[in-house]
This record gives sequence, structure tokens and C-alpha cells, in this order.
Amino acid sequence: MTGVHSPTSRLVEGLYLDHQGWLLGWLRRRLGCPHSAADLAQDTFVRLLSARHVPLIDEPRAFLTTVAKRVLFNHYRRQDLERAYLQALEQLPENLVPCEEHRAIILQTLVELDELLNGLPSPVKQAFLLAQVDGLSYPQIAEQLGLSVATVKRHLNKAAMRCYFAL
Amino acid sequence: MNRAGTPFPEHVAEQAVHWLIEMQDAPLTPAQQAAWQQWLQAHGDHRRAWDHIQSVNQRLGKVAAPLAHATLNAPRAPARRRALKALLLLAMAGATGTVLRQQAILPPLTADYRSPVGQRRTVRLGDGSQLQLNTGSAVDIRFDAQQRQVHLLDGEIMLTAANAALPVQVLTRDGRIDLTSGRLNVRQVGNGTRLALFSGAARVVPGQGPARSVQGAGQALLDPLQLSPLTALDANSGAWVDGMLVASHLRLADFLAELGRYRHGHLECDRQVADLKISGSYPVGDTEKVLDLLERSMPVRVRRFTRYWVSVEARA
Repeated sequence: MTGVHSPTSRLVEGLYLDHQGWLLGWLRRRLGCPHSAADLAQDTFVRLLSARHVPLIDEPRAFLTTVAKRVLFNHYRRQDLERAYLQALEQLPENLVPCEEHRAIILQTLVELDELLNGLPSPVKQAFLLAQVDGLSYPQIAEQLGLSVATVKRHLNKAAMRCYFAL
Repeated sequence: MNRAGTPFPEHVAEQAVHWLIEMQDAPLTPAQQAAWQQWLQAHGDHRRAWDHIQSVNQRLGKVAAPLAHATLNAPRAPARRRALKALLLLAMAGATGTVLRQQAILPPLTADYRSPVGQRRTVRLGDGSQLQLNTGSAVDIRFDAQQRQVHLLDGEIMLTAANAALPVQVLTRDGRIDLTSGRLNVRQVGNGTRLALFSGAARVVPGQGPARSVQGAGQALLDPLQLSPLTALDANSGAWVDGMLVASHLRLADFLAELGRYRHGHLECDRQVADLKISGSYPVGDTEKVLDLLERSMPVRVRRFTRYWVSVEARA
């Protein structure tokens, strides 16, 4: 985490003081719900604080809008995922359904994973899931996806850099 | 999964990922293992990057595979179409539940029913018969007025047949078993199909051999040419239905091979301890606990290289 007095946090503090109210209005118009708007405004600034590099900013509002759009997109995506997750839970055999407490944790894991793997080609994502969640061997993955083992390894490498190191 | 974490230099990340992918491919050779240890100890960042991967894997390990596939394959609704879509769904009110269910994305698997590694599954068949799938098993099912067929593609099943006019036919690589009534365990193994009949009567038809009728309780091996003579049921037959692995003077190597069916990855038994004998009932639902138990009750130690690569060795 970036230290409290780092240049990034000072920059974000400045943005927050000057534009927080404006961002809130922008989000409220899109969401139609003041509570979600406040949450997402908060998320936007948190995201900025944990960013590795915050670029030099000429147009703070344009910049904030770009980040907020991303946050908004994730918010919608999370709703999609939640719905799919609840449906999947319904269809799961009873002995596999996780307890209440684990359900939330697992959903959070999946939301993060989805965000990290977002934008990767589908076979790359599938290969990663089959390896790390299903625990299949590389030849099994190759067979299931109709790829060579060498390609599977290349895909896994790509997905792993994203998933473990956000690179 | 590296949201707020301390960033690692990119080359360290690359190396750590390289090792992970090698290890999950096949057990490292002694030379590779030495190189890996060296890498791990060369720099604090290496160890931290490795631990980080392990902790992410631990989180991923808690997610049931069908849940992950169904959730992450959820269709992506573009934000600007959302509002409209929400209105449409509201308008459909009562129908919404049905619609959503039809859209549910199933895991991309080809068999009708499949149980992931480490999990069991029960399927009720149309006529009141019941099918249970053990870890890592797959079946295709054809049930209608003309036929009642279960095709075992992989793994192990327990079939309890309802008394009905038609027998349930189990097809395997090696032949066919018609179960008229009773309870039958069928497992695909390397050299054939292992059958264990607990009650009732069955007719066994090898792929290229004469049919034979069996009754009562007993087990046998079916290959394409014949069914071996029936012997008494062993203690472990069908114990998986209750989530147990029952060993009676079993070689440790055989025990671990059996336990390994219930977990992902490679469970290795060192030659030095392979012939130790083990007895008892062990829960297959928690193989980590079983491994811990082994460490306490036998002169062995369990080395965990990764979540997918565990070796049982002699205690130093």
C-alpha cells in the first residue's frame, strides 16, 4: 500500500477535496441511486490510492470520469456475476453448496478473478480455470480445449501473470 | 489477486510463474528441484512472490469448479443497455425466474453428469433408481420407455436399481452389466472394470465373451473377454458412499494411490515407506487431515511443495 504521505496520496487528496461533490453528482445521474453513487465515488478514490502510478493530470474531471467509468463498469459486472453465482448455487448438488459465510468469500474471490482475467482471450481464461480450479493436468486441458500442450502452457503463463501479479 | 499487495519486480513475477507452471506440469527432476530451492533462497522477493502465489491458490482452492465456471462465464451486459434490460425483466415479473434459469450457463463439459475431483454426486433416475458418482467420475444417461442405460465414461458409480420391468444397463469399456434389482458398485480401473454387487441379481456380458449371471454379494473383475470368479466383498468396497476410505493392512503406496483420487495434483509415495502397512477408516472429504493423521501415526513426514504436489517420505 502506498504510504500516507506519498505523492500519490497527496494528489488523490487534492482531487478528492476539489471534485468529490462533482463526481458524486455524475455517478448519481447514471445510477439513479444516491447510496450506490456514494459507494462508487468512494471506490473511485480508493482505486486511485492503490494505483501504482497516477499520471500527471491536466484535466482532473476527465481523468476522474475515466476512472469512475471503470468503477461503474465493475459495479454492473459485479451484479451480473452475482446473479450468475446465485443461479449456479441453486443448481449445485446439496453437498457442494458452501455455507453462508463461505458463499460471500467465494463470490469475492470470483469477482476479483473476473476483473483480473477481464480482456484475456477466452481460451486463456478457460485454461487457467481448468488448471487452478478444476485441477486438470496440462494434457487434459489441451484435449478439452483442442489445443497443443505447448499452447496451454503459454496461455497459463499469461493468465498467471495477470492473476497473481496483475501484470 | 494482487489488489493492494506490495508489487513485485516483473522479472521476479515471471520467474515465480515459470516455476509454478513447471511444477504443475510434472514433478520436478532432482536437478530442477535443487534449482528451484536455490531460486527460492536467493532473494527475499522470491520467497514472498512464491508465498503470494500459494495464498492466491489457497483462495482459488476454496471455489467449487462448477461455481467458478458458471459465474465467470456469465454474459457481460454492456452498461448502457442495463437500464433497459432491468425494465424488461421487471415487466416480465413472474416469468423472470424461468427465463434466468434457462439462460444459466452450464460448465463446458461433455458428459451428462460429472463429479469433480474430491466431490460426490447423487443423481435420481426417472424410475426411482439412484446413481451416485464418486470423485472424478462421468456418466451419460439414457432413460426412456425403451431403455434404461448408464454409460460409465470415467471413474466409479454406485447404482441402486428400483424393481422395474426393465433392468438398468451399465455400459463400460469392457462390457455391459444388467442390474435387475439391488445395489451395484462399478469402477473403471486400468486393467478392466471392477464390479461389487451388494445385493440383488445381475447379468454380466463381457464385450467379446459369454454372459454370466451373478447373485447375492461379491466382487469380480470384468475384462473384454470374461468375468473373473466372484470373491468376498472387501472392506473398502462402496465405503466411498459414506465418504470413507477403509484400509485393512493396505500398503501405504496403495493407500495413497487411493487417497490421491480424492484430491487434485500429484500425491507421491517415497519408495522407502511404500510397504508400510496401514489400517483404519479415513474421511476422504478432508485429505489434508488424513495426511496430517499419517504424520502423527506413522514414521512418515508429508512434504508439500505446492497445493498440487505433495510427497510422503520417511521421517528423518
